Amino acid sequence: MKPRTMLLLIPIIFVILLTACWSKRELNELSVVSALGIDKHGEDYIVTAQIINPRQIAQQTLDIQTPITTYRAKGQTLFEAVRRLTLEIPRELYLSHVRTVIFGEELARDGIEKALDLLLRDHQFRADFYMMVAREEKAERVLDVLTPLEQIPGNMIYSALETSESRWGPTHAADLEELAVYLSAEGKNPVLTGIILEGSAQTGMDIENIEKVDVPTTVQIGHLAAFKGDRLVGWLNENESRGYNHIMGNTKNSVVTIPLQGGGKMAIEITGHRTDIKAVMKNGGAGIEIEARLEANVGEAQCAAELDESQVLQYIQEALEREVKGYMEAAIRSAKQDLKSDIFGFGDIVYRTYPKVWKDLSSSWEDEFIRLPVRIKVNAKIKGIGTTTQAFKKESKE
Amino acid sequence: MVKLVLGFSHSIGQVFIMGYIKRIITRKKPTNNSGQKRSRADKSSLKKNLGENIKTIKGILGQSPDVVVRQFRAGEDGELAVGVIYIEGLADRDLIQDFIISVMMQGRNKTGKDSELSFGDGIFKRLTDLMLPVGDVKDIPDYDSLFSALLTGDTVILINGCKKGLAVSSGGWDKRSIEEPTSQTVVRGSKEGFTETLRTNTALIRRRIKDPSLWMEVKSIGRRTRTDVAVMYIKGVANDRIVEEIHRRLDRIDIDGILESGYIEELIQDETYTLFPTVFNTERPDIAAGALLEGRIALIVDGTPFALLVPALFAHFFYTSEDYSQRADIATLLRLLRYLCFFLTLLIPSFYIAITTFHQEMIPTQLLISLKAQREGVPFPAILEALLMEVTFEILREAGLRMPRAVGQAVAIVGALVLGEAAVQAGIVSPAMVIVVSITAISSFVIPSYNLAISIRIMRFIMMFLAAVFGLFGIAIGLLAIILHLCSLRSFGIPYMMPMSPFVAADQADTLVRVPYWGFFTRPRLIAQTDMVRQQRPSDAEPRPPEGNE
Repeated sequence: MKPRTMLLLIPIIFVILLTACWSKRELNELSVVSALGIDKHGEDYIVTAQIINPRQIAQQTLDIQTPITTYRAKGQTLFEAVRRLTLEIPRELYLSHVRTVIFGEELARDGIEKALDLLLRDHQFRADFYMMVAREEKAERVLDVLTPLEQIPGNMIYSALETSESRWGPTHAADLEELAVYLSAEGKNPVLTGIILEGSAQTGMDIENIEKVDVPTTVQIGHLAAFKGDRLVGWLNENESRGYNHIMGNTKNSVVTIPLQGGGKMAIEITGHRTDIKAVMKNGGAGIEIEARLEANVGEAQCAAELDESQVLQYIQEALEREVKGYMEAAIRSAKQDLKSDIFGFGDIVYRTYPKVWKDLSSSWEDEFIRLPVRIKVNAKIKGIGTTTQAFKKESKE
Repeated sequence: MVKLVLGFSHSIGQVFIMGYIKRIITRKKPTNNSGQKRSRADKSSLKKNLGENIKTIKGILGQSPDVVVRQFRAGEDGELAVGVIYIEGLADRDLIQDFIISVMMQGRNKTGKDSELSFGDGIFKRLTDLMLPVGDVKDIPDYDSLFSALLTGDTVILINGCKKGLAVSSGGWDKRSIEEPTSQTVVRGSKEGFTETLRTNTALIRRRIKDPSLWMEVKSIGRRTRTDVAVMYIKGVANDRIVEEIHRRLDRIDIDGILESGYIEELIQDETYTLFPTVFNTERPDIAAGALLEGRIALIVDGTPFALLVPALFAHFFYTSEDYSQRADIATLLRLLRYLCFFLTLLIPSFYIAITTFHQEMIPTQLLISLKAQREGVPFPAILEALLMEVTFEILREAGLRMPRAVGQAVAIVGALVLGEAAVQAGIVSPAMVIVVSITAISSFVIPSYNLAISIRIMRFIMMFLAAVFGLFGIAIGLLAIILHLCSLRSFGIPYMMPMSPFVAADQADTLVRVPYWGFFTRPRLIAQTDMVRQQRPSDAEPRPPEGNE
C-alpha cells in the first residue's frame, strides 16, 4: 500500500470510530412496556404503561414484587404523555415489545383515529400487537390487574385473544395493520374485541390477587366492539359476535351447541370454515349473498341419537346450518338496526363488483346498508363423529 | 460500495498491521554470511595424509567429544592406515563394529589376495566391491561432502595416502516409533501418524500408494540445519506447473534453519498478510495419501510429524479423514455441522452483542425479559462483558496448552469455577454471556483444522468490535469483507474458494456434502488437470442386487 492510500484511510477510520456506538442501548437501560392503555380525560390523553419487572418474571429475587408496574401520565398528545412518563421511570421506555394496546370506552366512543397516529408513526412499535377496547371501563384500570399463570398481563391478554379466536370463536384479534386498512377504506367499519374487568380493580392490583386459587379479580376478553368510522357505536353479544366471525370467515375452530328434537343437545366442533360473499344486482338494487361452507365433527352428544345412520347425520347437519345461520342473521340484524354500521364490509364488496353502482350508493351507504337485502346460505358437512357411535346411556341399558 | 468495502477490508488488514510488519521486515537487511563462508572454505579436497585429514576434521568440528575417530591398520602387514569416523548417537554403532571395522581388520586373512588391498586408486573400488557388506556407499572427494555425510549419520572411511574418502550409510539414531496422531484423531480409520523421521514418513505414504509414478524429490534446505524436505506427488496426476512452482519457491528459500514445516509453510505461501491458512498441514499419512490421489502435493520435512499439503483450499480445512471412512450420509451431516460451527464460533458473540445492544425488537418478548433480568446489575456494557469472557477463555485455553501436564487439572477447575460460577454470582457477567462463550468455545473445537480455528478466533474479536459499533450492519460489513478477502486468496495459483467461486459443478459432490463414492469419481477440477477420471463409469460401482436371480 502506498503512503497516500494510507493517508486517505486515516480519516475514514476516524469517521467510523467517531460514530462510537451510535444509538446503542444496553438491555438494563430499558424499561420494556408490555401493554399500553390509552384513555381520555377531558381534552387530554392519559397513557398507562405496563412495565415488566424482569427480575420478578425470571424468578431471580426472593422478595415478593409484582411482576409488572404501571405508570400513567397525562398529555395533550400521546407522545407528550409517553415522554412525560420518564419523570417517574428511571429508564428509557421501550415500546417494541408492546403486546396489547387497550383503549378506554370513553376514548373509543370519541374516536380512536387520533390515538392511532403515534402507533403508526413511531418506529419502535411493531405492527403485531393487538388492540382492544375496555368495556365500560377505563383502560388504566384494566391494566392494573395482576394475572396468574401468565404473569405479564399484556402477554396474557395477547395470548388469550389468540387462543380464543382460534379455539372458541366470538373474538377477533385485530392488529394495527388491519385496523388502519379498515379505517381508510370506504364501505368498511372495524371491530375490536372488548375486554372486561371482572371484580374490583382495587384487589386486582394487589399481589394477593394472584396468590389465591380462585382469582378474585380477572380481566376477561370477549364480545366485539363495533365501530362506525373510528368511533365505537356499540357492542355485539356473544352470538352476534360469532355470527360476525362466521360471516367474515374468521372462524378457524369453534364449538356450536345445537338443540335436538326431544330436548337433547349436541355440541358440534367446527373444524373448517369458508365463506364467500358476493354482491348481486336484483330488481335494480344491490344485494348480498353469503355462502358459508362448514366442516364439523360431533364433539359431544347428550341424546340418544344413532350417529351411524345417515338420516341422523343429515338431521344434525341441517340443525347446525340453522344454528349458524341464526348467528349470522343476528349479527346482521344488530349491525343494521342497533349499530347502523357496515362492519362486514358489504359496501366494499359492492364497490368491487359494481363500481358504477357504488358511485350512486356511496354517499348514502349508511341508509342503503340498513335496507340491503342479505341472503345467507349455510352448507354444513359432518366429517367425523368421534370415537363412539352411540351415546353412553343407551349402550349401558342393553 | 463493494469496491469501497473491498478496499476497506484490505486497508484495515494490510496497511495498518501488515504494512507495519512489512516495514520492520525490510528494515532488517541480512548482514552476516558466516554460514556461507564456512561452506565455501570446505570445498577444498581431502589431503593425502590421514593424520592431517583427521586433524582438520577435528579442528572444524571443534573437538566435539561425540565425534568418534577409530584408527587401525589393515592390509597384509597392516601397511594401510585406516581411519573410521562417525558421530556417536547418529550412526549405528553395531553396524560399524560388525560390517566395517571387523570386516576390514580381518579382511587380510580372509581374502588371501593381499596385494589387491594395497595402495592405488582402485583401493576404494575394491573395498566397495569385495569387503563392505552394507547398502549405500558413496565416494567423498572433498571436505564439504565429508561433513554432510558425517552429520547425517554416515560413517566416513579415510585411508592414508588416498585423496578420497568413502561414506558408508550407517544412520541409526533413536527415534520415536509410529504412534497415534494426537492433533487429528478419528474414531474410524488408520491410527498411524507421521513421526519426526523423514524416511519413516515417506514409507508410510508409499505403503498406501504402491504406484511407480508416486515420485519424490528431496532437497536439503537451511544453510546450517540442512533439513531434508521431500516433495511427493503422483506424476501425471499432480499439476506439473504447481510442482515446478513449489520447486521454484523452495529453491528461493535462503535461511539458516528449518526446524519445523511451519518455517517452510510461511516461506512458500502465496499471501502472508491474511488470517487464513493457504497451506494445509496434517499429521496423518492417510490424509496425505488422499491428497496425493486428488493431485495435491505433499511436502514432508525432516524433524516434524507435520506434513504440508498444497494447494490448500478453504473447504479442505473442513474435511477429516473420517469423512471418507464413514457412510456418505453421516459424513455429509457431520461436514454440514462443521460448516455450521464455523459460523457459530465466528458470529455468536458478535450476534449476541448486536442483538442485545441495538436490535432488542428482534428478540422474542419472553427471551428479552429473561436476558434483561440476567443483565440487571451487570456493570459493563455487553461488548466489555463479552471481551472479558472471551479473553478469559483465551487465557485459559493458552494456559491449558502450555502448562506442565501435571497442573493441568488445576487450571480446568479454576477456570470452570471462575468462569461458570463466581463471575456470574458476583454479577460481573450475565449467565447468558457464559452460555454464549461456551457455545463459541465448543464450536471452535469442532473445526478439524487447528490453524483455521485460530484464525477464526482472531476474526471473532474483529466481528465483536464491528457488532458493538454498528450492530447487525457491522456484522454484515465484516462478513462481506471476509468473503471478498477469501475470494481474492489463492493457494499456489488455485482460487482459495474453489469449487464455490469459481463454481465447479462436478466438485460439489465432495465439498459441502460427500456423496457416495459411486457418485463422484473425478478428481477436483483445478487441482488435478491432466488425469481427471478416477473411475471410468462411476454408475457401475453402485451396489445393486445380482440380475436374473429371483
